Parts: sequence; structure tokens; C-alpha cells
Amino acid sequence: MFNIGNIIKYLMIIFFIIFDSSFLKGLGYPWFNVNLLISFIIFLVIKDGVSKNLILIIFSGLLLDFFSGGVFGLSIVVFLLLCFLIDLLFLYLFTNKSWFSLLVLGIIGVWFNIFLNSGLKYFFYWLNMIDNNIIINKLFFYNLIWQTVFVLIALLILLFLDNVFNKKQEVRL
Amino acid sequence: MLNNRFKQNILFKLLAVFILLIFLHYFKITQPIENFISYFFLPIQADLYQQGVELNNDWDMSVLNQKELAYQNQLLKEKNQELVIEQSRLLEIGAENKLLREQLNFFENKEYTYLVARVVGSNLNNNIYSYILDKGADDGIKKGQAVIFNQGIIVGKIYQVFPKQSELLLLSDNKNALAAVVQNKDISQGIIGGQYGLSMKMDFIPQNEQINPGEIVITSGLEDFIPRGLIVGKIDKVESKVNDLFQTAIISPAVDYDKINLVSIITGWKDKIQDNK
Repeated sequence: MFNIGNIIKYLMIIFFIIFDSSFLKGLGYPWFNVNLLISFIIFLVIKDGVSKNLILIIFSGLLLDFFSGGVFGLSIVVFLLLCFLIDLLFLYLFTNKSWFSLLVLGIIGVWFNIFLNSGLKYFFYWLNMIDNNIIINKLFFYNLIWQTVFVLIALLILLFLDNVFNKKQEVRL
Repeated sequence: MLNNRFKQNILFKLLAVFILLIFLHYFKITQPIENFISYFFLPIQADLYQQGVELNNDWDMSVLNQKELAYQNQLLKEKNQELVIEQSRLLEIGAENKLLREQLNFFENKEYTYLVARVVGSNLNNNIYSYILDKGADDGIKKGQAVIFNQGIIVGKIYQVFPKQSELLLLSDNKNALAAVVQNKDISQGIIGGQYGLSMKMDFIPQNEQINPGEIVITSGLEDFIPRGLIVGKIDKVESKVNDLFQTAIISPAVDYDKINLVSIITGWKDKIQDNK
């Protein structure tokens, strides 16, 4: 668990969370839709599976909950469910492991994250546990499209770099 | 691949961890850790956010600047076109002003009465070299009056007069005739006639009088309405045959007749005011 590769992963998670929540938010529309954390999580799940990255996923969710200020535990639940879904689809549905299937997996991952997040927030709003409701309007869908595009781009770059630097290790079977 | 036992183990552990975290958070047991993390990362977050905002503002400014610049550029182009037209008009006025001052300066030193007229057209007949002026009989213009340009350069005579306009017949026209003298030691006299709009010829210069190229030719003052001393031109060439009584001088005008647009018509002079006849 404490090898250099894992330490780098944890540091990258921290960096992505800080970067997404501060610098990208400052850039304004549409750049705040860049979600490097989700891209990285999906990439790790595709590459190594859920079981090897479970603690990392919980750590990501936990850190995100610390920074989000919303309902505590929401991000952990969403990330865990997301990662299990990605893992299942990768193992049983997208078995050819082509670039196209990985991109489709990325799209599913982003949309699942957004809709599950929004759904749970609405649920907690309905329970009066939070004040801000989710508004489904034109802007919501614009942000959905932008986030999908940015996450796919980031995912492609990560998969490509992994392919280049780890030529001996193919995507897991 | 996860087998069932491993799956159950994992799920159980996950649930336990999750409940523990929730419990620790809502009972504020993890609060010191949360505070430390916030405290530690807050300056970094603030700085990064500020960088993002500044970058966004710079980008907006550059985009806005580009749009603004394109718009300003278009406005400036249109303004430039207007200014070019205005400049052209002002240059024309300036040239006219200079001309008028020079003519005025000329007249201040003389005792002439005059009327300024503008060239408004030319005769379409190719055999006549004349201009149409915007002053006529209603302004006191009479046939035969001298028309000068700039500082006392005679360019022709009034040939036809209409109520509001008059026709200036240039000295280079064949029909024109002007009594002139050469500014030489003999003060040689002759008659100037036009040469098909190209130049002038001074005839009836006595053969025994010495005239040379470069000498100035002026009006002699022997005609009605034409005072003495108005500049006609310069001698270009002298044609002289030994057995002839007279010699001929080819005169080049002192001004390019194609360039005149503002002239003065001499209506009289103080020591010799001409009455209506």
C-alpha cells in the first residue's frame, strides 16, 4: 500500500481535488466542468480494478466531502457506486477493451456520477437536510455535455500516456 | 475476478468503514482532522482560485479587446475615409485660398478693379480652347476683358458673355490676338496669336530688334480692357529669316492652362476706368 506508486496516486488525488475546486472554479464557464478527479478515478478502475483501488476511492470521496461542505458521506457513496459500476461494465459488457468501449465507459461514468449526485442531493433536499435544491434546466445539460467532453479528453490522455509508458502492461484482462 | 466470498467480505468492510466515518463526522470526532486539512489547504486553494479568476479576466479582456479592436478598427476605417475626403476638400480650399491671397496680393499693389470667377467647365468643341466661368453680364463682365491667373498672368480674354456665365478664350486659341511687348532692351512689340491650344506665337516683331529665348513677354496695354504689364509667357524659340521684314517668337505660357480653376477678371483700373460702350 505504501509503495511509491500508491503515494503518487494519493498525492495526485489531493492535487486534483484542490485544482478542480479552486483553480478551475476561478476560470468560470465552461472550464469549471473539467473534472480531473473523476477522469483519474475511472482510469484507475479501468486499469487496475476496484479491489486494488478501494482505499483510494474511499480516500477520494472522503477528501471531497471535506471540501464540498455538503452532506457528509455523499461523495464516498457516489464514488463507490460509480467505481463498482465501471468495474462491472468493464468486466462483463465491454469485454473487447477497445478505445471506443473505454470512451463509452467514460461517458457512462460521468453521467452516472452527475445524475446520482444530483439525485441524492435532491433526496436530501426533500429530507430538509440541505438547503440548495438541484435545478434541471438548460444550463444543467450544457454543463453535463461540457463535463462529458472534458472528462473524455482527460481519460483519453491518461489512457494514451499509460499505453505509451507502460507498453508491457496492457489493459487488465 | 471477485468471487462471492471476497465480494461479501469487501462489502461488509466497506459498509463498516462508511458507517464509522459518518459516525465520526457527525459526532465531530474527526473535526480536528477536518479543520487541519481545511487550514492547511486553504491558502493554496485561495491562491489557485485567484490565479484562475485572473486568467479568466485576462482571457475575457483579450477576447473583448479583440472584438472591441475589430469594432474600433472598422470605425477608424470609416472615419479615415471621411477624413481623406475632408482632407482632399481642405487641400482644395487651401490651394484656392493661396491662389486668392496671391491674386489679392497682386491687386493690392495695383490699381485694378477685378472680379474673381471660378472655372465651371470647358467648351466641348475641340476646335475652341476656352473655359466657362461662373460670372456673366449680371456681374458686370464685358467682352474683351482680361482674365488673369495667380499673380498677374494673363490667360485669355472674355470671348462671350451670358447673363450668369462668360466664356474665357485662352491665349493659345487660334482666334485670340493680344498686343504684347518683349521685356528686352528694344521693348519689341508684336501680336500674340494662339497655336491650336498648344502654344502661342508672337508675330510682327521687327527684324532688326534683338529678341532671345528666355525673355519675358507682357501685355502692351494698347487694347481696351487689357492693362499693360500682365505676364503672357516666355520666349521659347525665335524664328527669323533674313529676307523677312518681321521675325516670330514662339511663346510658352507662364502657367499650365489645364491647371487653372480660379481666375480674376479685370473690370477696370483707376487711372483708366472703362465706361460701358
